[in-house]
Amino acid sequence: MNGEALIILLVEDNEDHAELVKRNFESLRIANRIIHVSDGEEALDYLFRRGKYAQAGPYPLPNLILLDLRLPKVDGLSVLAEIKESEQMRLIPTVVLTSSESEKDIKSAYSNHVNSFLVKPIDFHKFGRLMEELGMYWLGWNTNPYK
Amino acid sequence: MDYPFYTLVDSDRMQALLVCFSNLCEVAVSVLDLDNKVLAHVGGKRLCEDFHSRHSVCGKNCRHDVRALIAQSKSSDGLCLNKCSNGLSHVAIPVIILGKHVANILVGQFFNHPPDQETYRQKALEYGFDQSDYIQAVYQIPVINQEKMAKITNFISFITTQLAEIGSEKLIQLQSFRAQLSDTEKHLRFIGQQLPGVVWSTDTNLCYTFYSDRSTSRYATAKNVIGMSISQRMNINDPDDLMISMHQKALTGKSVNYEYDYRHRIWEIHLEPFRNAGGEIIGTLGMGLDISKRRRAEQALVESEKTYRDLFDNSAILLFTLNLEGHLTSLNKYASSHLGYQPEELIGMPVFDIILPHYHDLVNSQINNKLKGADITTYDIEVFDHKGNIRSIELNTRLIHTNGTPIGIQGAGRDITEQKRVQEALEASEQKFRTLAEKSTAIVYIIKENLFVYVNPALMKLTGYNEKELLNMNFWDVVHPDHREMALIRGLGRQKGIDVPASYELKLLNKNGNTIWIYLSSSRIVYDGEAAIMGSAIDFTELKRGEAALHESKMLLNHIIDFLPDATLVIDSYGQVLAWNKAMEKMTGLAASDVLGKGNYEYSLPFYGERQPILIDLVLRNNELFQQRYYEINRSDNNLTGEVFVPNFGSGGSYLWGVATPLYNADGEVTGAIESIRDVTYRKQMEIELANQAESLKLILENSPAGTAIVDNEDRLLFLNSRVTEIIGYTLDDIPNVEIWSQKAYPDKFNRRVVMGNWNLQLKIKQRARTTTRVHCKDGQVRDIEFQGVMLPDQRIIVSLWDMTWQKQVEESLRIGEARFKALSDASFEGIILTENSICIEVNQQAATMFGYSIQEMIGMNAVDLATPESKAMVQSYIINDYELPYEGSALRKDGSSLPVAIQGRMFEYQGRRIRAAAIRDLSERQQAQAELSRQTQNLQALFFNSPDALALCNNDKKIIDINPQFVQLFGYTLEECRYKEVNQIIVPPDRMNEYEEHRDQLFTGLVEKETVRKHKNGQTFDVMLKTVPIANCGFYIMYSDISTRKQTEQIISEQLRELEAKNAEMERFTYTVSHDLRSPIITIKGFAGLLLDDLKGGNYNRMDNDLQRIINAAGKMDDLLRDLLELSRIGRMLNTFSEFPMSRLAHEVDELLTGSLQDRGVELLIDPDMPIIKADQARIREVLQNLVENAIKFMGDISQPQIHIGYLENYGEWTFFVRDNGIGVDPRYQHSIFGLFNKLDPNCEGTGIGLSLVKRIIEFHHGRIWVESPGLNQGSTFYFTLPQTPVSKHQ
Repeated sequence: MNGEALIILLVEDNEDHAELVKRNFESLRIANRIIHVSDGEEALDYLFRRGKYAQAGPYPLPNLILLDLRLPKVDGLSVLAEIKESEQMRLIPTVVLTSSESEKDIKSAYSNHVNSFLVKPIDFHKFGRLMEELGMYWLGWNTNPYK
Repeated sequence: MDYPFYTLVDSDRMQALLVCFSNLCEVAVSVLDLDNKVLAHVGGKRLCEDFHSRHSVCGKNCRHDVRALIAQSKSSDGLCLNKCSNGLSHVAIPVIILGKHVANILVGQFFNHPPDQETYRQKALEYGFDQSDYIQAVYQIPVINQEKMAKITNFISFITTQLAEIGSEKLIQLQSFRAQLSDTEKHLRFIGQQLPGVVWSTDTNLCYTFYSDRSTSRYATAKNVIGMSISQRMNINDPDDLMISMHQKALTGKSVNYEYDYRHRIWEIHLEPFRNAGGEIIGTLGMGLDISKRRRAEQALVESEKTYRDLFDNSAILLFTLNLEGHLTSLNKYASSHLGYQPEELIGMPVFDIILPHYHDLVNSQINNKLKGADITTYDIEVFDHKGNIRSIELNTRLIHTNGTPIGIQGAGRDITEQKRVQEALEASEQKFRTLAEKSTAIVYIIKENLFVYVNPALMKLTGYNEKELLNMNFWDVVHPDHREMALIRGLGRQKGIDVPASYELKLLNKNGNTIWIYLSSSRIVYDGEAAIMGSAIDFTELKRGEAALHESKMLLNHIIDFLPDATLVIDSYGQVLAWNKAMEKMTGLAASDVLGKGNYEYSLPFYGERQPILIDLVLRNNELFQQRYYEINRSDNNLTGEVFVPNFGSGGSYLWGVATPLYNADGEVTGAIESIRDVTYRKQMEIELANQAESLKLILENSPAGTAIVDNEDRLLFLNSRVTEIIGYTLDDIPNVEIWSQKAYPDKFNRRVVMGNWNLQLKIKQRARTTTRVHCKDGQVRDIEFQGVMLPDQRIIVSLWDMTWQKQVEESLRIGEARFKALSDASFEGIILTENSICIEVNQQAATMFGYSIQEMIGMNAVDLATPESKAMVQSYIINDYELPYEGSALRKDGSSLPVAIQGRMFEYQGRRIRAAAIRDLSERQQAQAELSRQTQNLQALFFNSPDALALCNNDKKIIDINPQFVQLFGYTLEECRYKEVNQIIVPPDRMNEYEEHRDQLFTGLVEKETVRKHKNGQTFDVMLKTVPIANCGFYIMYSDISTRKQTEQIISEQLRELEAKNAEMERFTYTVSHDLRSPIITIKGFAGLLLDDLKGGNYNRMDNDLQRIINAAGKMDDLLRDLLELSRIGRMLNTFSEFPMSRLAHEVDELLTGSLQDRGVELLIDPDMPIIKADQARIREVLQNLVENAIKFMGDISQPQIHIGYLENYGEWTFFVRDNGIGVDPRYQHSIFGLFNKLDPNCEGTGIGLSLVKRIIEFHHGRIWVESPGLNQGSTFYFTLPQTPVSKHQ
């Protein structure tokens, strides 16, 4: 851990949920910055510097990707698949954060080499704790290939 | 004579001149002869050439105008001017040569003054010419005024005059030439007429330029010939024809002579090349002479010469000529070849060289005679031929003169060598004859015309006449009056050449009156050149006498033979019958007269019907073949006796006995044979009978089952049959007599004596004997033998013997057998009854039990009483008839009950009695079993028949032998159609054949059970379940169940299952989606609530509003979601009925509903006017439209003229409706997913995302389809949905 803020790409279509995540991560001890995109397409555009992110700009690669599954335009699993197919992108830990508990989704995600699968708890406190621990674990404990 | 203009004028020069002129003056110039033939034409103008003359009407006018002009000029002989109908001017200038108008020069195609355009424009219109072009052409025409014209015409006139003058000069020249030519021709013709034969000339093309035929004064027609070609005139087609080729040769400069055949005449032709003054060959000159007559004469002469030559050469006469010196000057072919010389050798040679010197003087004198004046001399000479042989030639010669002077001798000769030889030979032989005749002891004479012309001394001696006397006598004068007539006839006949016997006997009378017998031979001869008879004879008077005596004795002999009691015949050594006696006649029925003198086995005919040797011949000559016929033949010394069976003689054939012996003459030579024949048929038959009987007897004895022996009256064994040897071992060799036999058979002396004594005594007393003794046989065994003997009348004894041992053994075995039988019968399960004459004599225990009697009770009962009344007759009949086959009947028990039984009886002999043994079996069990079986069978049959499944029964060959009614129904075949067919022949469809083959083998061994397809008689296939059940060794059953309905049901079920699964899956998705999406707002609520709490705790109020709002919003979203979900789920339980309504009305309703939204956004809504009437759930379809339009409004984007169009398309049984907008469109990638539940492309927009999913469900419920098409972003989108034209709904 060094002084730089770690970047998290949050792919979440629900504004409220995104807000929740952001709020929670704010209070995290590890310095971080959340980049929020609302749909799968935008996520991929960001990562692969396509579309509106094609021009030069401050679009740093994230250290962690939080991915919801149900996304408009491009579905979460498709995003995941594409990420993990890319030699460059697959090095970024990708964690699914979704309200879905469907076994099929879980299996698919893991088949696509997701790094972790998290189900959003309804309980607020739990949610908060999850966020905290999530951040601590992935940004703190986990070793990134980039570092 | 008219010369054409062009010959008088150099046309080339003229043409050139005219061209120059025309160019200069720009006018058209033409030269025409009197026939209006255009000889030259230059400078023609376009107007005339291309327009006027080409137009049909116009052109005609042009030509007419020209002709008019010419005519005018002709008549006036001067210059003429006119204007054609087209306004052009033309001038005609005549050309006059020597006062003759020979041609015209025309100058024309020009205007005198400038043309009027309008006129020509009109003309163009009238004639249909292109106006501008035409006018252009018009302007090309030169305008020549009067003054100029005059100058031109002057010039032309001048030119013409010049031309004319030139022409005139030429004409004059030509005319003078012509005159000269004419004169020359006349000369030639004159000459030609004087020449004999035909004269002609041709040009280089071989066409006649002159022709004269004096021979027939056909000059008149010569004119027709001139100009024709030779080939034409003479009708020659062959290009190689001599006439043509010769002419062509002449054309090359050669003179030719040849002969030519033409029209059956021969022509001698002479050809010369015809040269002109310059020496060039311009043709041919020919002369022909008819030489046919001369030729013919020549030919005739040649032929006659040839004929003469031939004659000369080939006559068979030597022809020659000599000159006066005696040298041969010519010799014909015959002469040279005959004499063997080559002509060259003889010609010029002195003829004396070949004439024998002996004759030289003769020849000379003959020549001299001729010279002296003798005409023809004839004489003989001899010459040497080439080989040196001498030939005699008879010559006829004469002198030949020329102008009275003898110049030579001509001679003809005949070779008389042969002739001479013959003559000499004849003379010599005559001499020989004479000598012979004189010396002979035989009579030799020659008679010519009945007179003796020669008699030899022998004749003289015999007849007593001398030569002189005889030579004056007729030949018949010496013949005895008895024979005179015959002699006369014969003699004369011979002379005449009539066929008379050459040799014969003749009685003569000599001078002394004594009879003399002669045997003469005579024949015709030529004597002194005349016909005569020569004869020779011998005196055989003595012989004659002897003959008579012989004849007498012969007669006697014949007599004796004739009356012999046995049939006798005599033949000579030639096989001719000499004697055939009365007995023979009687035996054969053949009269002596018919057979005497005949040979060739005539005598065998009555016996054998064929000619063949019989005994009498065999005695003379051995003949193996025929000898064999005789079953008895004996040869002793010279006699031959034989017996033969003659099948065709007498009734049924006869046996003949014959004895034959040869006859000899005094010298011991065989002269014939004699045979006597006796019919011994009767005796033979007797003998045969006897032999047969003996034979039969032998057979009987031989085949007797008993040993048989025959002993003669001296105790000798005559015969032993083989049976004897079998029994006792001895053969006839072993025991030749009784004594030896008794020694062998009874070694013990005492025993022997007793036995033999007993035997002999019996025989003596009663001629019969019988005894049984123990005999020692050859093999050492001792056997009991029974002997029986009978004495025959002839004192022979027949003895029969039997081996009693066997019998004794049999008795023993029988006894044992009986015991065994008894045991067996008692042990048998079947009842055994022995009956004799229908009475039971023995029964076994089982029989007794079966019938309910005791054994004792049954014995003595009549077997028939053991049968029930129904079976009685049958049983009785079978017993009586010894029926041995099994049969069934009904047995009657003691207690009166009946019992079904099977009976089989058999007759056998036992101790001389006829016993019937019957086995009886209780059939009741079997019957029961049978009844049971039949009942079971019936059950089975009923089962088979009534089975609900189709059943087929197949035999071991897999062929159907029975089917039940269900089978008939299922497959459509009747039993007759199926019977003896294998299933694969009728009901297995082709595609299942392989499968059938696979399980075919299992049909017998195991159960086959499978689902498969079979086919009805009508070809329809259906699913069946088939099951097979093998029946041990008998075949198998096949059961078919139609499982088509089941299969259909299965299919429906599986479909429904699939549907159900799909629904389930959908349900699952739905549930998942719902739970997930419901959870989402809950998370929001809870989350922000928590955050709020924290904030409140911490005293942070800045985010409170925001957070609370989020919570409220989230709650609201949840509510919306639930409502929509409810709506969605209701679709599945839709109860609304379908109604018919026009789509347009629905669309207008939607328009009203959404008026507000539409106005807000400023959207123009277009609705197609003539949308169809559909039958559907009106409310739902309205919702669909509303939803689609709402979406369209929502996603309009920024476009200035937003437009929504509702319309329809028709498509194969369904209506396709669409809602089209020009909004932001749909990204192609998401065109499917937008119909998914909760799928929103824009998370921020309103709506729960259920809308399109709902729409989809509604449309799908109506069995329609929905989809979107959008070219891309900002290019609008069209939502299509289909509804079937004939709606299908579960709820209808």
